[in-house]
Amino acid sequence: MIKVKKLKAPKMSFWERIYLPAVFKGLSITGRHIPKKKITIQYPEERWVPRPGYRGAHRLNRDEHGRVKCVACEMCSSACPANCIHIVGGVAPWDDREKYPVVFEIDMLRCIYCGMCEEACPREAIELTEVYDFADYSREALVWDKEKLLAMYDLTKDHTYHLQKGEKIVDDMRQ
Amino acid sequence: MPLIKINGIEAEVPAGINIIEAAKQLGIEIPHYCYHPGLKVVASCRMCLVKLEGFPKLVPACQTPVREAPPDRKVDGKYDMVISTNDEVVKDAQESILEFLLLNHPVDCPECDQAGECLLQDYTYRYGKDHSRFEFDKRVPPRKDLGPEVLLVSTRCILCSRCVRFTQEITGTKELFVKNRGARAEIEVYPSQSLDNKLSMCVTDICPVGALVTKDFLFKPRNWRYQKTRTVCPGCSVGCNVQIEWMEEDNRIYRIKPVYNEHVNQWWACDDGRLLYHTYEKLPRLEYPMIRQNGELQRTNWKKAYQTVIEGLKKYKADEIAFIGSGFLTNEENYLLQKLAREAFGSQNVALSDRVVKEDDVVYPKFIIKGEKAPNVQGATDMLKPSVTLADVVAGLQKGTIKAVFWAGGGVTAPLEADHLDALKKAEFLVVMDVAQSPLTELATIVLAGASPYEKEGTFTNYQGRVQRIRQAIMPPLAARADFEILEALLDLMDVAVYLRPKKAFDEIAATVADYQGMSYELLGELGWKKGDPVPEVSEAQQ
Repeated sequence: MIKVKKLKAPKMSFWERIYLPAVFKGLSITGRHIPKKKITIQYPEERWVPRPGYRGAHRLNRDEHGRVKCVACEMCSSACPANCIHIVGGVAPWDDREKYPVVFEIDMLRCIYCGMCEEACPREAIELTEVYDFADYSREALVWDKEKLLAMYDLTKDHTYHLQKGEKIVDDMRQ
Repeated sequence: MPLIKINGIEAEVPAGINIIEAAKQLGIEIPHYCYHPGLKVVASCRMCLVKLEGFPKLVPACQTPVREAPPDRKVDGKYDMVISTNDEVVKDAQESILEFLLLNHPVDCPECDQAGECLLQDYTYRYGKDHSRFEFDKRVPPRKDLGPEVLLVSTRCILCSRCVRFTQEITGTKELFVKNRGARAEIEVYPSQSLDNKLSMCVTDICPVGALVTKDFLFKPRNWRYQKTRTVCPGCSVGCNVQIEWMEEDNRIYRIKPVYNEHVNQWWACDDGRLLYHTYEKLPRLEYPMIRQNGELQRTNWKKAYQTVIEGLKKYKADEIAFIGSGFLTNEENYLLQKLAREAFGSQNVALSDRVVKEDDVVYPKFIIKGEKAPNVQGATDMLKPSVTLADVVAGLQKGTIKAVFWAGGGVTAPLEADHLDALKKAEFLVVMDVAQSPLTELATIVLAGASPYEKEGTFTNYQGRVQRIRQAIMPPLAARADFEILEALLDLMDVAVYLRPKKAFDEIAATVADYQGMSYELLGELGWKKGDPVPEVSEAQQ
């Protein structure tokens, strides 16, 4: 048998029952914060730029000729713990390599943004960027294909993604 | 037997086998590239160098047989050979050889289909250096199209010459040779020839690196991603042991590779068998059971299909029904079919369909491809014990003495002959159990959707009489079922017997069919069991 011990709520005193001291106590904390420096970022007018190493949306890098760097070796999809990368390899149309990705898809909803794909890549072709604002209206739209991932490279290659988007940049929310 | 010592482990091994095999028996790996147990020894890669006590230099393990030493030459007074594979000298040699083999290797593992099952990768990881001291441009020999199925990426080649020896010894076709010498050596196909023998894809299996790749598997998903199922090739009556590599997520086969079975196919399998899964993929598969209503085949459910089959057949007298089995069905299925005929319906009209295009056997010096393309004609004959022939059934249909036919399996490989079609048109009630649409299903009253040999369990008996297990890899399409399940359900509905699994049917075969006495799935194991070979007594403790 499980022993059950019934507990009674402690009896409140008169001052506790009228709640007014607690209200004034709370308001005093609010009052103390009014003259302090404000740390709220007024998104989207203001934007926070993450520090380097932030693991946001993925991109597929291009080489110096603008071609996709990826050789479809599937190291990233093998390393992926969430199983969200889907690659179909094909014969490359270029002379300097044998294989290239015909299909490269990442399910951005399934991804856990761990960065293992980036670490596994032997060609430095996949990278996580500083982009965090890629919400969408459907699940289908969040399965990013090769073109979308290459477009992400063009947007983020100079690390100016947030500069282009926001009027005011907040560099670090801890300042 | 000579007493040898390898890395401090003493053992007696048979004289005459080489040191690689002797070490393998003791669980010690000696790395090797050019040596292959199925081919002649050339000792050209120098990867298997080991230290042999009493020899001034390292010796290639593949070329050095284990032998008895004269009494006065024994090491420490008792050992015939003392071998070391982990001595510093050996390790140094292995490192140097690997560095040498990697001089011109492009190390393009990310693009190479062999990565993951590549001996160069594995041995470099285990025995090699972590860097190369070679600082010049690597040699880039051209990529070559060797034949209809095989590509040669010469840059990756380490010139072990396994492929050359394969075409010389196993197929005897001699298409390949080593062109040029020294650093300019390349594998080449003789001018005006092409690597087009029926075993050409075997060279890609024995290639220790990714130099020889099949066009079929080129750039398919990486080889470690597959589920692997060991089964028997359904391509002909040889019954090569193969491994099916398939994926669960799309229920598709991606590659079929031979597996070693000393009694049947050794290390090899023919190209037709490897590519057979494409034939099944392209077939217009039957996906649902169907019943003919108003002249059209209509999709139905299994319960209704079974009932219609039984009610339909019950309308006829026993000798008006004929049951036709097939060499494409497993032993268990053929056994159940004849049981359905003889015990459920009391019919003695059990025939074996011989509608198979018989080609000539293709005979190579060390391999045979049978012209009998049905994998289980032996077994089907043993199980069905046909009391009539297909010709008798056709004659009976023409005369009108046979009115209902239960046709099981094998309708896809050969066109139906005109007189068979004419006769079957006269059948009042025709049940067809098959894997794909064919002229036969066009005539059928009821179509039962069966499974391909890759999609079911059972046993095949090959032309030598070796009984081997086949195992299910992928699932049958949509509502299709393994033929065993269909026959099992019909027998159950006729209140004859309940089997549930092919294993139970095989136990009954082992108890009742003459040459299969005492066999069981455990006895067949991986290598199968030949009919008539004495079956070991099963002790009570094992049971």
